[in-house]
Amino acid sequence: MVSPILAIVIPLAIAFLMPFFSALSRKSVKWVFLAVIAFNFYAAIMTFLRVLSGPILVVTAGIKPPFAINLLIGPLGGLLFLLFEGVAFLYAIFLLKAEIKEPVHRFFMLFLLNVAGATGMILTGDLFNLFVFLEITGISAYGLVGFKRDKKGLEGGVKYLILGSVGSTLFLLGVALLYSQVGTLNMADIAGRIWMLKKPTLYAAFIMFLVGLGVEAELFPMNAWVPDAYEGAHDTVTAILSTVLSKAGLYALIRVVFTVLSPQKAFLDLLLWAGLITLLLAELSALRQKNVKRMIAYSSVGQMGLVVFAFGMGSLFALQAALFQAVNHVLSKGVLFLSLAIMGKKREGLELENLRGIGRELPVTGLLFSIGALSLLGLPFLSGFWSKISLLLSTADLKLWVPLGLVLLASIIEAFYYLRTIGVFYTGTDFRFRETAFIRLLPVLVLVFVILYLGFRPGVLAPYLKGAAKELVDRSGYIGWVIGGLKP
Amino acid sequence: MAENIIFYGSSIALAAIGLLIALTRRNLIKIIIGLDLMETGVNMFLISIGYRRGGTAPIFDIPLSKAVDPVPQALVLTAIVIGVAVTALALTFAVRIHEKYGTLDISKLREMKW
Repeated sequence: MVSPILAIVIPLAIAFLMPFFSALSRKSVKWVFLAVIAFNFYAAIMTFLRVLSGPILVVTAGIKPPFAINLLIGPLGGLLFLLFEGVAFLYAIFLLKAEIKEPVHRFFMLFLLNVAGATGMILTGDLFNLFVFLEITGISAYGLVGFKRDKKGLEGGVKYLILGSVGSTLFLLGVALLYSQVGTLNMADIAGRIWMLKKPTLYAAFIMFLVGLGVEAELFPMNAWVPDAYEGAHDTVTAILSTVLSKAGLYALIRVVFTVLSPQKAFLDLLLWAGLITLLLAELSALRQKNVKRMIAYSSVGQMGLVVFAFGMGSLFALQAALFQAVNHVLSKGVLFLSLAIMGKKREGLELENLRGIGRELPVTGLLFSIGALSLLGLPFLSGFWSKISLLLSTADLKLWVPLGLVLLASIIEAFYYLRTIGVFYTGTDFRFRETAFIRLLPVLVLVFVILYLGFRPGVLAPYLKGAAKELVDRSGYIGWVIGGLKP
Repeated sequence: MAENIIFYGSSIALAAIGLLIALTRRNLIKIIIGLDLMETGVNMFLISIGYRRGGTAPIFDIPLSKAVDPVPQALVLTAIVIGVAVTALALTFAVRIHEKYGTLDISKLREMKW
């Protein structure tokens, strides 16, 4: 049995020991990194299995909540924990053969901090603790984006830094506002006393949290940093930003809205429309991009908009669909960014014209990219199909016809530019076969395997999604777990 | 509580000024100053939540009614440390950007426009 808290503590500790490992042997660094992430993955699997029989409460300092910081892992936390660490583990394998600018140990240090921060964000049960993890994740991400220290990286990094720190300061202001009214920082304790807030205060706090966390969750208009940061960053960094980091921000947002602040009708409507506007603007911008990485970055923003839109509908069925869509987004974007990284090694630049015929030069990578993209578009018998269809069905269920039309429109735009990209990959006359090393293909293969498996058996995931969605809807259940004295 | 209104108002105003600077200025150094002002404003707001007129440090032999709330102070201590880290990183970015672009005007950073 592994305590989930170790999945935060060990990466943090090892991150700061990285210079020491680097001094011992420069080659050891990436293996140490892989070992730590593997440990996290193991801890996540163990935690996930334990959560199946009931939520886990971890107390620190040996004092019961709400007087000490606690971690709480329910079905939602367990699912995201497993997803995050699994994906991070695949990225760690991918990084074994990647070209990284010196000093390499600092890159891995930042990467570990980033994983630790994102893990902390989804596990913690304390609002201020969430702020601290948000900042750990944020600061390490700014560093990672600017790590290449070329013009693009610096530009993306500094834009992310400005918006990110404005966002987290607003988040802190929201925390302060809540603390001034209820006198506690424990999420469950605040949730139990949220009736003490007057309406204006509650709404002000919601706006602070929406804007503050909207930066990480890539909501319009706080997402201006996304395309630049994604394009400028190292490929694997882009992958982790798009998959793990954005989901951590999203998790924090929905946890605060659904559990802490209680989901008012006005809040949900705002989420719904913010998500829709994000989706449409991002897909329209993606259509105009010539650089494939930037195009996928816009598509990533669009997908986040779609997920937030689904959360805004608020029904149990819609929440399940939203979570499923979020899982699929992680799988697909992991495939897309990693296979794009492999392609980028063979050609100069990632402009669409430069990648003409790459699907014939790298047949396996091209195929994997195509499966990832098609799953995102919702082609039948791929994992993305089931999440998209349940999302559309839940929209129809609530009779939201205008949003339904807009989502369909966005899907058509998305299908157009992805199919155009795949088309360009398979034209041209270059038949040289130059497939990349197997170890670099392995993580992508695993992700595609999961997509195919879920495509044929979508029911496997259903009970976990249902549990997670129930956790969000059932506020008093969550409060009871923490305050009611669940055995730690 | 009413006596604290002036503290609340002024700290929020400071944060708002910082936000305005950070979002409207173009010079990177001014933006960083704006971010710092914003953080300071929020930190002052946190401190003023726990403030009690004539209160002292909450040490055991003091009656609870005279003690200020220690939690916001602990929070601010953490927030200050985080703020220093962000500012340091932002200044590092500023130095690097000045090296590469020869300017600190962020509207001139247009390597990736479409």
